[in-house]
Amino acid sequence: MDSSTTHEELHSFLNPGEKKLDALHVQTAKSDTPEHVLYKTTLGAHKNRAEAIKSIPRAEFAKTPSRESKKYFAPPKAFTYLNKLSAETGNKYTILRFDIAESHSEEKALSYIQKSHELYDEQKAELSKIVSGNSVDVLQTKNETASPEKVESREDLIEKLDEARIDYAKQIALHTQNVKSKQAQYSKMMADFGVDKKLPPIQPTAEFLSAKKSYLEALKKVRVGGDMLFDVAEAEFLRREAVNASSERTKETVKKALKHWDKVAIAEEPDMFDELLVGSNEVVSAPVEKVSTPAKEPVVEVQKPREVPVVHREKTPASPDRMTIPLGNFKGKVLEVIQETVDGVPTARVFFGDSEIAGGKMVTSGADIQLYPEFKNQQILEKSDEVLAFERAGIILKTLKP
Amino acid sequence: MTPLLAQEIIKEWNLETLPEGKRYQIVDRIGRIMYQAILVQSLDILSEKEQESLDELLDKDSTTPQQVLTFLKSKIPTFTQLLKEQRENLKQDLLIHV
Repeated sequence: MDSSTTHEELHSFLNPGEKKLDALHVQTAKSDTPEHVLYKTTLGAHKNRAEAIKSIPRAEFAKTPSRESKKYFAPPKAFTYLNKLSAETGNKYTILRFDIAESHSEEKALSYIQKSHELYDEQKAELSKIVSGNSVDVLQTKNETASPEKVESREDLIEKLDEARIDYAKQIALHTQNVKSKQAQYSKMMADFGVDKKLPPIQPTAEFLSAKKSYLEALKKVRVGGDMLFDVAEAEFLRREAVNASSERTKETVKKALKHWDKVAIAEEPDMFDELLVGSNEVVSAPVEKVSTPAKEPVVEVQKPREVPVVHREKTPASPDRMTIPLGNFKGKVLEVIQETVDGVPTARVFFGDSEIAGGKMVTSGADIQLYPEFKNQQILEKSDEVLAFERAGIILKTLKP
Repeated sequence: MTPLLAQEIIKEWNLETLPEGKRYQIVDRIGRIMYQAILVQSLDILSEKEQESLDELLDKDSTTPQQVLTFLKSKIPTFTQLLKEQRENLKQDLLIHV
């Protein structure tokens, strides 16, 4: 192995500029190896002594919470490189050890890469490409490890979905605004020529597509064994965001159009549903099982939400099996789900601020939780905070088991 | 009591395994999403004059969503394509293989 060349490359790769990092030990291995944690420590009190990044097994690390704040110090590009390599080769790799010795011992420092698999040469070539012309700071990163095999908890997955959803919603808003802005410019230009014409649809940006991809991946992970109503609620949320990012005129038009929509039941407009959902109204002639029209409640146009008495249910004394699932703050209020057995019946209830807004039994197939009638939408076009909170709680409710 | 749905809709949106009540609820909400999405998309395409005509149509209490869709279809030659795209986008969001 040509360790001197490798050392130079890696030295260059990791050299933050001001500090000299002279000894490096990187070991890669396939995914069946035990997961280690990277952490940073100082080799002594002397100011010239550099910091070191070491690794210990995760189980051991977990016993030392005081070190928690010191982890996450591997160079991001090292992870990027391994992830790229994993993607290209189909093998999974993780960094097991990553040590940097003190800066004044360059002559003595031993630098090497331990070849742990047959792909060493490929790694080296890849690494050469990465390091050429790049100086990488050893920065703190929240990439705890690059371990692709890490098992994420459901809470982590939901948190990631929340983040991905925010990013995607942001991109939807940006895209919507971009489209509107370009449309306006184009229309004005065409109007100057005496033509009343609009710009054809604009394709979304790479950032939009990337955010969408991340969102869908996060959604897939959360949805495992999930419920389609959950997905529908997600889709509704995202499309509402798109409308909210639009001009006042568009918002107003959508509002008016949905007002008409909400008056119609499926059975009254089968052709329309067929056209929207299947793409052909010819299916009407196909065998369709129709039954009586579901009498939608007569729509009463209201100027403002009808005031209804809201029952503030007190949280009952905790039962021995009570489990509180915090869902964080929503619209400035605490949102949480409480799961417990009451009179031998497994139940779940949703609290939003001081109010219990929904509740019900846990059944074999999941949770049969209903929003209490007093919180159901009194507005035709806009959902109340309670309805939105209930929809958000739906993310967890769909996953509960008795 | 809920109406039973066209088999094509059930099949197209992978609703086979769901109980009837839930199917209805989902179809109702998917329809609403589609209607809203196609409307937003159409507004980017309609000319100023056409938008004004749409506003007039929407201002009438007796207007039905079917009439709105018919109007959009008459003004946008690529309406069917738009509908298809929106349907595919939504299916993607609902993790239905398209």
